Amino acid sequence: MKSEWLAHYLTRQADPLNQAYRLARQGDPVQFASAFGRFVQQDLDSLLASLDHWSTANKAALCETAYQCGLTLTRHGWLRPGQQPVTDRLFQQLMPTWLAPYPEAAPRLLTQLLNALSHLPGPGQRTGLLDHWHCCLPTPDDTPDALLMFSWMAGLPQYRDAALHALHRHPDWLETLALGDPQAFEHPWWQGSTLGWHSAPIHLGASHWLGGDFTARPRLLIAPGQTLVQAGHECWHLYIDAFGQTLLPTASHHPMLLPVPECKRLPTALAPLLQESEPPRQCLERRHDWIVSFHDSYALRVIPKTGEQP
Amino acid sequence: MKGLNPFSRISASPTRPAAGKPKEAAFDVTSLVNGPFGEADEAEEGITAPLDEKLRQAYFWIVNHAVISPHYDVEYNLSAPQPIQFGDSQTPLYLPTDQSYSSFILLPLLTFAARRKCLFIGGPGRGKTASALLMGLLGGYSPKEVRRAMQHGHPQMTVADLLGNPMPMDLMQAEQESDIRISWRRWLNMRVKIVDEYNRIPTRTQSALLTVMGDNYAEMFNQIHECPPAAWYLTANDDQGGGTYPVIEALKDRIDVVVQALPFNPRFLDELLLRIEEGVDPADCLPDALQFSEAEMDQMERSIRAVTLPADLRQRLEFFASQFEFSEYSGQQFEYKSKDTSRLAGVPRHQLAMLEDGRDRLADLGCQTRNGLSVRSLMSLIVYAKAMAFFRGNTEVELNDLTQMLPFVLHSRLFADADAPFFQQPENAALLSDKIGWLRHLFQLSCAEFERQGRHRKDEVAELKAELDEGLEGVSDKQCRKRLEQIERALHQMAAGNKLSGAVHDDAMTLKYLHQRYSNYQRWLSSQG
Repeated sequence: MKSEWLAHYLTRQADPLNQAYRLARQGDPVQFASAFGRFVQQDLDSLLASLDHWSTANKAALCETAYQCGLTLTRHGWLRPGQQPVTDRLFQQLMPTWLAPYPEAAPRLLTQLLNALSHLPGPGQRTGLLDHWHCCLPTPDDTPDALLMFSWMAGLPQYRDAALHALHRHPDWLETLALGDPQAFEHPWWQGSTLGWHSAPIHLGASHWLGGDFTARPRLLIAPGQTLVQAGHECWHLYIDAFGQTLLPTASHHPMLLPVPECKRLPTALAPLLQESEPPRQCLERRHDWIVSFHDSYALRVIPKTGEQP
Repeated sequence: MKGLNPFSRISASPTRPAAGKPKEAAFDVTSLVNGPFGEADEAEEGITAPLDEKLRQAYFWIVNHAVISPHYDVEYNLSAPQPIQFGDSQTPLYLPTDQSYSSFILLPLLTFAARRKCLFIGGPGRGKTASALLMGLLGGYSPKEVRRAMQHGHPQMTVADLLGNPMPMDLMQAEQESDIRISWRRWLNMRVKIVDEYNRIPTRTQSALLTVMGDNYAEMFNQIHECPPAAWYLTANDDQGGGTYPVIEALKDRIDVVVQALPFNPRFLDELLLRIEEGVDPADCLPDALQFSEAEMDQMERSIRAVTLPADLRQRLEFFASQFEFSEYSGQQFEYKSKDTSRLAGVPRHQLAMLEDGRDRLADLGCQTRNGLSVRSLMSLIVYAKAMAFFRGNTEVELNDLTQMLPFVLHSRLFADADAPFFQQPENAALLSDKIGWLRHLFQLSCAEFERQGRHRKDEVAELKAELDEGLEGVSDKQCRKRLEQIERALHQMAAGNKLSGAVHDDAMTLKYLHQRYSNYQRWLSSQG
């Protein structure tokens, strides 16, 4: 092991550590042991070795949290081959640099970042967040804002409104990330000056229920300031923008809830985009996009309005 | 290494979301920093959690980490559950549609919250003592303190063993009894008291225990020791007198609820294996956040008492309770037509049954029992129904709270008459051994009869009583005469239209009481000129 302190700590605390491990283990015990052992030897060891100059109390506090987090990471599959590189990068590259100036706050910061990452659906999105994080390395006070902004940009549009407020508080990050004018992000399909507009239609669900988001044909509903999707007995709040889409379960008894009227044909502007698709059922035009549902398909299509300038 | 103990974790998410205020926002940005890796503000939430939420957290911690109990026998439903029929007997299994609970954990917890008395029954090694121990931990004591304070009943247990010893020096030097100082046992001052195998305690010591349980004080050598209000837990391997000494009736009657330890499901052997391999005792791992201070226990008891029992439910309970004490041929005078009269006289039940020719002994619920309900049992039932409503985050008792609590409160208080025609029916035979099922069924039958008689729509006796409850001050002689006529008319209608049953008997007695109050008042008015 690179960290002599960690080796001693593991020996000293062997009983409670082993107990915590055994109570947390699940699934194939051999695979679990192998994955978690690798985490301790490579990720935890690297992290503690790079923070060797910290006081013993601070190292112990971080080690305790990281050990417990490692068990959760193992249970959630973050140490499997497809996801291992992201976890390695997090513990071996990002954490040592980011946490080094903040020994007191380190356990809390580690937990917050891991929790935020756990909301992202896959390793691709997590990598996106880590890229931004690595460039900005927020202070403990700025971490909540950074989590909001970068989680939103990594694919959690439900945090968009809160993230936009945070965006205006940190022009320095926009500059570091070369994202351009913060005002431009008021438009949901703008991705920053490097990537520009997102213009490709987005599909939600599938052509049939099997494997899609919806167990019945989705229907669009509107309430003030909200777009909802109903399929069978389930209802969701639809959040969508250039960075991602999310369907958050919600109650379908809003006092002002109205179904979007059915339509026989699409607006002329959309005709070239949906020429080959099946007949539309509803077409909801919003300020920056259209959302279309269909008579036969268990899917929705969202078409960004193009040709606008930020 | 406190943070590394998985047993010490409690969920920060609400244990019963419907009980809380609905959230207006579809999501909360703080949820971004909370998740599977721990809650950022767990400690603060633990302190500010309302007491009912804390009680539910304690329940779920015990169910998830401490006691392996996959039985959900206290069922709640939002919509009618679909039964799945099993076996030749077509026994239905219901999948509850609302949050349901395990009685073996729930009832002790409600006992803790309401500071009442709970008896665990069941074979050896089923977790009775372990559950009682957990309740002691919730009271803020350490496992060592609770284990040391636990009273283990045995055939040689003396009053001194139970309560304390006089100081030897005082015994020699005292000139009068009040000079003898007593070294009271420490368990008497605890807010959670546990008596293990109470049916092995000799009768004389049981009497001393009765005084502590019933009146909250201990007495030796004319010295009195006042005990603080406490939740009591007693255990017994057998509730049918199978202990070393028979339990005195008054002691039994002080027990508010009886909980049966259900058998262990071998499918959960893996959890036992884990505990053996790791040498873990969950009792040592109760999170501090789940311990209740003395002030919190006081507050919780006050909150439980503040839960309201709606009038409609009270009337159902009155109707249910009125079914059982009545026995038409036990007495000549109306007031003495009770099962207690014949029991005191030693008249066998079957002799009285032979005299009965008017009422339907199969349909009359009173025929299913050997006795009636005591006042103490009704008080216990109301307290537990309120505690159940509090536990579920409600401010008002629901019908199902009563339905679910009633069998556990009446378990050792309402006794089935095995000779009753109801139990001769093949489909009801199993209810003789399944007391919980029988009592629940009994209450449901009573509610059905209550509704059939339309008492939930109109109850003339209740209206007349409510009129009197408003007070007699200012009631004129004319009004008084009018009400007396109403009462007499109601009595005549009752006599003409019904067979004499428990409910009719109680209604008639109530009307007689009202008649007395009004006629006495009327006489007083006349004397005033």
